[in-house]
Amino acid sequence: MREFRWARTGTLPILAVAASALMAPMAESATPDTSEWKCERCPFANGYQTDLTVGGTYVSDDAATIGDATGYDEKGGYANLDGDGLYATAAHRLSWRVEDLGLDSRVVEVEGASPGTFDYRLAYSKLPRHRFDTTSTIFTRAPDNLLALPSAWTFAGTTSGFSDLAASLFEADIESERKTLQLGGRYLPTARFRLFADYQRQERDGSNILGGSYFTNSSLLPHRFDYQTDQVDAGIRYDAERGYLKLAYYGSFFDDKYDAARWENPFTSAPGAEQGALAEAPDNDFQQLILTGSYRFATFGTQVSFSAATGRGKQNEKLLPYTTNPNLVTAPLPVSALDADIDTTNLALTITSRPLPRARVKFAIRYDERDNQTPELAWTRVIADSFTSGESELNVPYGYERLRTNLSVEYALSEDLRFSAGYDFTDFDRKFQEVDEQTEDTGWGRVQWRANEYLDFSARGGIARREIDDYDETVAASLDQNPLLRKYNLAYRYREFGELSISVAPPEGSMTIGAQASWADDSYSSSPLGLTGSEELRLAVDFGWSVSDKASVYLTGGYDDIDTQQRGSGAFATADWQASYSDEFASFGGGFRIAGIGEKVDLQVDYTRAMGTTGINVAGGGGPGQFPDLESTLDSLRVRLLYHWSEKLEAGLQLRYENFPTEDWALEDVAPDTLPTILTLGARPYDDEAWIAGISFRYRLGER
Amino acid sequence: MIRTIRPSPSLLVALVVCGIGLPMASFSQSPAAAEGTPYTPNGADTCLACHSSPEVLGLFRTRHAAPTDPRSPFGHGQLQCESCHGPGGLHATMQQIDGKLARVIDFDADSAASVEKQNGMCLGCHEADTGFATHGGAHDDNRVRCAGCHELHSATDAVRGTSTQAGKCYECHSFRKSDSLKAYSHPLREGKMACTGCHSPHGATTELLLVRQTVNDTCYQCHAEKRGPFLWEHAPVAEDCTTCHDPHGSNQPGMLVRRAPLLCQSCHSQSGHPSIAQDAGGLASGTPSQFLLGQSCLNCHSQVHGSNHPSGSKLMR
Repeated sequence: MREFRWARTGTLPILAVAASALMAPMAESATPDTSEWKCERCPFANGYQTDLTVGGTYVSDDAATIGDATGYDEKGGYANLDGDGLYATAAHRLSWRVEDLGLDSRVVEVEGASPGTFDYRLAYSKLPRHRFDTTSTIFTRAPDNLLALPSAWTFAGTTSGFSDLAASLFEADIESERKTLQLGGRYLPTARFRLFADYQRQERDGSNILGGSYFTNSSLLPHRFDYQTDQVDAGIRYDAERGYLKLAYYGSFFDDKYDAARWENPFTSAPGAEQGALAEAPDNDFQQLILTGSYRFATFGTQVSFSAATGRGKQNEKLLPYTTNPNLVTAPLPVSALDADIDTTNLALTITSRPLPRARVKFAIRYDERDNQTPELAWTRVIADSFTSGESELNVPYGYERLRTNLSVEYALSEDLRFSAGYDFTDFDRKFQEVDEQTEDTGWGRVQWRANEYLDFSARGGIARREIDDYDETVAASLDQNPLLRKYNLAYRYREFGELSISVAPPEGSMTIGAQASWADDSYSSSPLGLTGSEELRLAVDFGWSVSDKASVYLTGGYDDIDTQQRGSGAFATADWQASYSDEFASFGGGFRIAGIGEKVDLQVDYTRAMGTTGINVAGGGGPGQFPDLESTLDSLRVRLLYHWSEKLEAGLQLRYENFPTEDWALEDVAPDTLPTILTLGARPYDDEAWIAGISFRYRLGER
Repeated sequence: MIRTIRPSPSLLVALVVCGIGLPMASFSQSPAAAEGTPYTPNGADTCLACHSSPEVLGLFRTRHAAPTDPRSPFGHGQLQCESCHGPGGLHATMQQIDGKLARVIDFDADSAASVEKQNGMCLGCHEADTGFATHGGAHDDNRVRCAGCHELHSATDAVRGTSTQAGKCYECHSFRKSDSLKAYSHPLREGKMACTGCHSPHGATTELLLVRQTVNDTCYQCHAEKRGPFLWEHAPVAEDCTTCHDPHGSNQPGMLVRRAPLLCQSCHSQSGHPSIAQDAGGLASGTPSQFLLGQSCLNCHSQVHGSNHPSGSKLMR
């Protein structure tokens, strides 16, 4: 095998194709003398190259869903700046990019490198999330993360008695933002060693919806949160001719600004229970050491890859008291902080080999463990800050061990016809749950056929059977569960599945057609109560046509349908109600691109329609079983017109239309006081529609 | 306790397909192998005399065209264009093989060069940093071409950009494209999240090619507040987020796999309100039910991801 000279490291086989080369070995060509190659025609980047785009955008309407992640949530004008650039010298490269600088979804990235020696990256991004802009509340924010009632408030047992409600409500959008700062770099002391380190800080703050319950009542709160997560990835990697070894450290440190979410109870309450408190997510950290590597043997192109990771997660947040009610006498907390501790182990080994020129064998085994070392302690719960349960409860430190193995064989009958088959086995052991041990074996077969240079076909199918050693009804009883219930992630399951994929590229290479289908049928035949069956069908079709080198058109479509059935028992006996559930989703889209209209104009048009429909029927409940369909429809049209004014200047017009109406019975006609026992935020189903129109100018600086 | 693997229909399926008797033979070499083909006399200067369109020259804004990097195809003494495209001597002199213009290795979907040959050219340099890890992974199993994802002549490789990456992945993963259009999904459609936020396409030993060791570890990168460990854990949450959520998108709020309360009632059957059928009579137009409307079960059990409150065993505090 011919070798290239590496200036710093000696030799490295550049044309080695390793195992795959056995399929199509490459013949050698005489190594040329490249010492006189000058590459005078090569326009190497040198100096500054910058593209800047300035523009303005107008949004026609307020729309939470359209502003979600984009920043276009409010009606009005937006100024914007995008750009990217490169500065290159013989010794250094520095590139940068800014995106949506004028919006709440801005991104700034800087990357630099001294090629072959080190590189670095700095990035900042902001992501706005807008969940509801139709919500309203009576709660105002007070110190100590307290949501306070209005100064004039009439308490009542149900929402119908809230005589001050209408006068007290004010708009409170449910929204948040995530800010992410990333710093990282790599250093290559030699060509074989690489040191790397990446640091990321995420800050998330804003509001979400949180139910604050009191006895049989509850208030949906515009809950304020303020999170910070620092993450570090660092390590060293050694690359060899036949493999690599990498040792890495991962640390994640989460900090919650608040220890509790507190609120004043608007319902009539017992003395001392006027205020409630939920525990916020505890500060926690997770640290992990990971060793990964790979080695390729000369025999049969066999490669062994492995990964071994050990981690520990901890939290020792100071606990809140059992209750905020000073009138209740409670037992002392067993500890002031939990000192919770999770040890994780993740081991993986993959071996691939080609013992015959046409046969490839793959064996993989993976072990994951979550060993929960959190102490088991006795707690005496206070129910809804109203009265003590009087019973001692032990917290349950859930943990598991999971072993997955699979063996597969691929045989190429010809270069264009391949058969493969595999057998997968999973053993899942859980602690403190109804099922101690669960196994699943899966067998599958697949054929891949390239009928000719224009037609590719692939089909895969198989069956899987998940079994359990025993469904421990004593555990179920300890949780007050109906002994006939089988939780669907723990239950016996028999699955049949199949996939089909066809790709057609007619002669001349200007057109492609692709179609995919998948199907899965799950039967939980040993579940008297709970999920009893599920069937999923998915379809996708894509069509693309390059009409000319300046024009193309595409069409795309997708459909999926998930039907499930489940049974329940209102009488806490055998099944006395059944539910059928149908989740359908269909999407289609299309568009075209034309470049060089009149040699100056590019036009791009994209349209997408997506429709989700969920049908639910609950029979046996005594009332009407058929629910109105849950519906969502997305219409999205994007038109982009680009005018090439000169070599350096382009003008762009962008027009975007988004329409997102939904039907949701959980929100439809549910005002804050519709539910007698729940004070809601009155969120309404989404019905957002907006036009977004923009104009931009792009100027190109520097030589290309 | 189940410890032994018993013969099962699924095993039989595997064995039947495995058992197809197949003879050994070697493949004919691809025409693009170009045995013994000479290199061009002047390297890139020869190639660029004809191939000088902007689509080609975009390469010179990338790291592959860094003349001071000895590892780069354009580093001193390297083979420049022919580092990747192979010897172009016959092609450059317009010679014919089997009546057709001699070709170099190209990286189009309809290339005459096999997937192994195309990827082999990339792995000649990237074997150590990428090839070993990719080997045995799903993309390798499916013989995905490096150039099927990466655009080497473009100044910006779409698959490496947050806002453009998903579009490239969707070229094969059509179902995921469809999922991204669902009413509740991560912001991939808006170009504010990339598939590589969760998946490592070059990885091999993690499940589902995830960037972290498990599904939950991956989710905790952005949702560390769900990590705990909590005093009162919700068993499926600590085990696998996808028991309740479909991270690729869903018709239901929160990307839930089914709508509450039915999702919750799949696992909770305690006497009283958890086990009672919630039918359409509980809608706002009938007798509004607190178990059905608003946040459904979460109206009260708001700490479904776990509670660290001493009185939080029912996930209400």
